[in-house]
Amino acid sequence: MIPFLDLKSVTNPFAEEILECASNIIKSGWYILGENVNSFEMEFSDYCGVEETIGTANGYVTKDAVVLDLNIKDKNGQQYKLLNNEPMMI
Amino acid sequence: MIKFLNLQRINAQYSEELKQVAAEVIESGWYLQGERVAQFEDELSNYIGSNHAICVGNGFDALRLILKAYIALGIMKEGDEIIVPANTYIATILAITDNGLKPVLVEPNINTYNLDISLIEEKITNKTKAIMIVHLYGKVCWAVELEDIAKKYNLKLIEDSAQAHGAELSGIKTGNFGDASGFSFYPSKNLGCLGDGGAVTTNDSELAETIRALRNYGSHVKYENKYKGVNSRLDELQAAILSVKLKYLDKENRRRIEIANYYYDNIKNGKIILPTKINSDPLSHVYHLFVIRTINRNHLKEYLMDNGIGSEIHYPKPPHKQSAYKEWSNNSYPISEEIHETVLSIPAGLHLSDGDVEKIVKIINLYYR
Repeated sequence: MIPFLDLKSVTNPFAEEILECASNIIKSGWYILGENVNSFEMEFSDYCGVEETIGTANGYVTKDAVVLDLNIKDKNGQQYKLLNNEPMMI
Repeated sequence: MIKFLNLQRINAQYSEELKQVAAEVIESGWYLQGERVAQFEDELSNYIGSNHAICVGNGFDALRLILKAYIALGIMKEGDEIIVPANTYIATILAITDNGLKPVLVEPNINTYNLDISLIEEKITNKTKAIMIVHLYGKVCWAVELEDIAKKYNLKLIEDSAQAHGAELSGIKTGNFGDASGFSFYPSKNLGCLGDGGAVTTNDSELAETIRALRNYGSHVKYENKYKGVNSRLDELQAAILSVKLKYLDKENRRRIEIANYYYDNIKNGKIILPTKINSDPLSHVYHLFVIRTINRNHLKEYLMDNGIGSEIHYPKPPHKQSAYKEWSNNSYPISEEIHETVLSIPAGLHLSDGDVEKIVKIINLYYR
């Protein structure tokens, strides 16, 4: 049986490294919006070549936040978000 | 320095167990909507005594999705009114307005810091659909009168239990008083995970099924979407962590009550008003926060800091004075405003040694301004 997706095998090579990060976080006493989020935001910005990254809980709320922030609507009430600095219908 | 909160110290006692479950989840290859969430949901509903527990992304979403589910079920509609205490943390009110519902703010009782039940009835209109009670600071907000009002006007009773895990009155636990209840597992809570997390508890099967769909894009069957839902799911790692920590909740609450009782017995200072002590049902306050009042609150905070004691203000500004709700800026809720001007939370958590607690009392008793 070839599974369609096998995240166990995908994660396995990094499991020790991830567990070490997890242990450090457990020990740190700081769990939300701390150093790890800051450094990942910077790393991801560098990787994407953008100025800013804002970490959110999931992809769905990212869209929500962008729309809230921009509040761009056309005359029909259709909302837009920025993609590659261009407004794009969602 | 005695910190107001020290999660590093609190979680250190469980670190081996927490690392063990973290390793298991990392190695499992399954990270969302799996057996650990299902297991924690069972454990939580057993603990609360409710038929259902539905884990979500955080405590705000727990409240938001209860209301969203009532809208999806046709029990509420946009513009309907929800009664809510004026002095709650803003998240309770944001959960209401996020659904296009209208919060109707009601003053608290200054002795309990909880909703003044005697003021509810005059605020009820033909649009009122629910009363959102908040067990603020860890103190149960419940009375037979609440049930009577809800019955008389056909209102839902929704609990905000974000600060009161494990509190109980007459053998009933928070999360099992009303029609539905929202819990937060923010790390500093009496039951906290190591990130964001939340849950809804209810005995209403239809509501539970609706929230299960709503938290997962409104999907009840894979790739079929019955409702316009959201994404708000607790992950397996946090669920496994919560299963570890739930085992210790009662023990931790007993320690919080012990610290509070020491404060009640030993803080003696005419400048300080202690929270009202409950003698009848000792578990009806689990002291997520021990909140005192004094006229010159900021001065007391500075004095404590100068003497090596951290403290926090819950909360410095009421929701109706926040820029987010500028439409209410001219409204007046004098009791709520007085609370916000005078309250100060002193350390009461699991990180305190007996010596710390004694020192805090000694320093507070020497405060004279």
